[in-house]
Amino acid sequence: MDTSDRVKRILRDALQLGDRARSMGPATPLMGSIPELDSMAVVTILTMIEDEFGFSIPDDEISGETFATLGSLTGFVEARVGS
Amino acid sequence: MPTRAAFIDSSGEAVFVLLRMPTQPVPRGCVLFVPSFAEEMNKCRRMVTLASLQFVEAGFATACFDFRGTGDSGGELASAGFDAWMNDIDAVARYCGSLGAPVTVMTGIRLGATLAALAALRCPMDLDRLILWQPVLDGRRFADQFLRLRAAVSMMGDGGRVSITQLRKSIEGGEVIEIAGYPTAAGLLRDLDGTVLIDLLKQLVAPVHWFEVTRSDETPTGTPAVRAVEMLREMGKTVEYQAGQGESFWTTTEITTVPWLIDASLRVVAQG
Repeated sequence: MDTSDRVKRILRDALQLGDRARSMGPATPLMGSIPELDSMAVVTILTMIEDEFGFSIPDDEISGETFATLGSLTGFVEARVGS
Repeated sequence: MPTRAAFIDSSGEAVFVLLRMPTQPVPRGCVLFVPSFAEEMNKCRRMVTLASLQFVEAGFATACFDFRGTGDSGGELASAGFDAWMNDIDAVARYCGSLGAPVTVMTGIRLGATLAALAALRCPMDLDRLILWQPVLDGRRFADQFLRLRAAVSMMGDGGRVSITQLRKSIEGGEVIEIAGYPTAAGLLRDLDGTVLIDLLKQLVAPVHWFEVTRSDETPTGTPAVRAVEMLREMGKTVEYQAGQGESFWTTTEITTVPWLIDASLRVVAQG
């Protein structure tokens, strides 16, 4: 399973999207488009990313842009996971 | 079958315990559930209750309690810390023993798993085994994730951001800061920061059964948990690891359950 799939599954889990997650792709907008994605959900997602991928996310690395799309969030994770 | 609800004394604080006894005169064993922290505790409650009822059906006594400063127990969270919480587990274990149900298994959920590992080392209990549900591996990271609940509200907005670092500084400086409604003080933060699960488990003699709930049906590889299990096995420790698909019941907005986890845990408990 690649990083994008794993991130998608995290979103599905955190936001309890069910089948809505199926059609998500890199261009799918997140922040502002998914009602369940509030600040609490952001915290849940960041925690899940940390626990799944094994790295810590410092505050100053997060911004609204991180959660703009599934692609931006995946890119954020890929940049930190290492090659 | 008698279910006892009681407030017991734990070094001066009233700790709430719920002890469920099976119908048979002598229980097959007693499973002590060690709860998760803050909002996770509320979200895990259904899973713990369902597991508890299923274990009792199978002939085991079960004990559920609230750490001081949480749930129905007395005391303030801002005054609580791991030493005090170890006293609480000790008091609960002695209470179970006094009623003919000495604790034979601890099932810890999330931070409760980490605390159960600590209790297995510090409290006198004749444990057959330790069951861990989605344990917290690193107390410092868990503390940061908890503090992020407060930091995140400012993260997405236009106003001034308060960072996890700033929150830490304030708390370590003596301020009690409410994080998602939970008054958080330096003592607890210090205890969390100093706790690494693998360091506790490597000292344990009792067999450990480590359960994880995953988002796919593939067995996880390379995750921090899997690596920790591998390290412990290399050290000669008896660690069973089982991962299965399900929702992250300790954190989902809607309360969810993961039935396979309860069934699998009962199979472990029934090993004796």
